Order: sequence, then structure tokens, then C-alpha cells
Amino acid sequence: MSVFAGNSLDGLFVAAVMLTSGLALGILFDRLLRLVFARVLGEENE
Amino acid sequence: MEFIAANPIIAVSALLTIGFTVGVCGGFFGVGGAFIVTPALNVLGFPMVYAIGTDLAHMAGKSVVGTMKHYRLGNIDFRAAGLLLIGTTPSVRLGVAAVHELERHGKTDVYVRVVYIGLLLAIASFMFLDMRRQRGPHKTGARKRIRLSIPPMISLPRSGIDSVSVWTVICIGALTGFLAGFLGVGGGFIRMPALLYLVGMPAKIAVGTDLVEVLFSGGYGSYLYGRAGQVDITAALIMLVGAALGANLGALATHYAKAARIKRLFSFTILGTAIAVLMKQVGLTIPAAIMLFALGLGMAGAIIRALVVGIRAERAKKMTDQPALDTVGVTTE
Repeated sequence: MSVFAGNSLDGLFVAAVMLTSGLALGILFDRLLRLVFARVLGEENE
Repeated sequence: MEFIAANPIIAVSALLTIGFTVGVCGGFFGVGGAFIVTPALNVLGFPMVYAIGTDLAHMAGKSVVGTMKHYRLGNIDFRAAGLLLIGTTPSVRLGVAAVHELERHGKTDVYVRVVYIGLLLAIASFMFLDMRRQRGPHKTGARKRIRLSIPPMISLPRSGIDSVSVWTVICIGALTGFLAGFLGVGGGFIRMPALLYLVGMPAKIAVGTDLVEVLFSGGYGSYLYGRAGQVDITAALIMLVGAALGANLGALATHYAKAARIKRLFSFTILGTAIAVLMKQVGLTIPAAIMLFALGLGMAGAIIRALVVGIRAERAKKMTDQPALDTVGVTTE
């Protein structure tokens, strides 16, 4: 079946890129939004 | 290496919108909403096999941070996750093999669309019934756990479960794994209720353990589709940008929005997605795409609106509290 054909390196590359990008983007937006919300709610004065 | 295998002409904004909408819904409800991505990509022109592969790749990326957060909070039952993976691993592969077999006969699009229509209608119906039950006069608190005592039995100390059939957990993993490989979904909409009512897990542990499964299904599925050259990595990364932002906003919105109202809107979005897939099947591609985007943006817009209203109210409350405190300070001096 076609599932056994193809290049395993491509598959590993796709999975690795998506997992590392997900981690990086997730952390980035998490920090960014925390910063924005702290400013908006004026929590930096507390 | 050629990664943009599907090569459809899809605007970056459309992919960002899909990712953002699904991210907001996933962040708000806890379960992914990836079952909207594959139909949306297909309606936009992706051949079904690429839509599934790309959806799985974006799903893998999206679930990493959520899994880490729940790991830090101690919300993952690793024994249960291990058992689920025993069922998931071969069945993801089986799902992918089934898609590739259909692809050899040129029937992937129609078969997967039909399964999607049935699945989306079933989820929407269940959600409508559940809402009706909760509004009705006979609404009850927690549902009873359904016990299946097929040996061997195992204990799950992290979840506070003395005894559960190994087969129950493995079968849950196997069913959702096949759906992941075949449809490109996370399977949380089946796994979550199954972990709650068949295994008896506490809700927080079920969410964390479910995310481990989503991460694994997405990662392994994107590997299997990626090695067959059926993942459009550019599209997946663009969707991931929207999803990462949307997921964080959706999670923040849980503090402000009323879940019942958003849940009703979500049910209509799922129903609308099923109708859009049906429209695509009969050749009404443009109306299907318009409908899907209107529903998705309406859904994300409602959650973001609740977030903005909540923040404004909180800010206004802080500003009114501040002078009052100052006055107290002055009088006591």
C-alpha cells in the first residue's frame, strides 16, 4: 500500500517542524498576551 | 524536497482565519475543534488527503504548549495515557492506510466527506440534546460512570480510580486513533466523554490526558502523511500562527464569557460545517466557503467580544475602586 512508500525523513521533518514551531509560537503568544493584558488592566502599578 | 504538495491557490488570510477560529474555539472549550479544519481546507480547494495531513500537522503544533501546561499542573495520568497509546498507535496507522487505499481508487473525497457529514451531525445533535437536558426540569449534576468489567483490570491512582478494564482504555484509544488517521481530527469530542463516563476520570485529568493523545495522534499522523508528501507544511505553519494566538485568547476568554451561550453558537457552527461539506459535495463550493467563514468568524467574534467586554468591565471596576481606596487612605491619616 502507498502508506509504506515515500521518504521517512520528510515525515520526521514535518512532525519536528510542527512540534517545535507550535512550542515556540505558543510560548511567544502566551508571553505577549500576558504583557498586553497586564498593561490594559493596569497591573503594572500594583 | 517539495512541501507545498497540494499547491492550491489559497490566500494566507484564509488560512490564518481558519487557524485563529479553531484556536479560539479550542482554547475556550478545551477540545480542539480540528474537525472543522479538514472540511474547511477541502472546501477551499485542498484535495481531501492533503487537507487531512495538513490538519494533523497543525494540530500537533497547536497541542504542544497545552500539554506542557497540563503537565506542569499535574493533570496528566501517564498510566492511562500509556494504555490509550497502545490502542492509538496501530489505529492511527490503520486510518492513514484506509485513506491511502481510498486514494488509490480515487474515492477519498467522497468517502471522507460522507463520514464527516455523519460525524458533524451526530456531534451537533448530541450538543443540542445535552443543552436541552441541562435546561430541562430533570437536570442532574454529575452523570453516573458506566462500568465495563472485562478483565484484566488496572488501577489509575493519579485519577483516583481503583479498578478499570484495560480494554476500555485501549478501545477508547483505538477508536479515536482511527478517527485521527482517517479524518484528521484530534478525537477529543469522543475521548473526553469516554474518559469521564466510561473510565471515571476527573475532568481536569481527562483534559490533560486527552491533550497527550492529541499531541501523539497529531505528531504521528503528520509523520505518516508527511512521509507520503501529503502535508502542505506552509499552510500548516500559517494556520499554526493563527491557532497559537487564538488558543491563548480563547483560554483567557473562559474567565469572562458565559459558556452556555457560546456552546449554543458552537453547535450551530458544527451543524453549519456539515451543511457546507454537503454543499461542497454537490458542487456549491463558493457558497459553502462563504458559509463556513461566516460561521467561523461569527463564533470566534462572539468569544473575542465576550473577552473585550469582560476586560472593559474589570478595568472600569478597578478604576472605580481606586479613588475609593485613596479616600479611605486620606481619612485615616
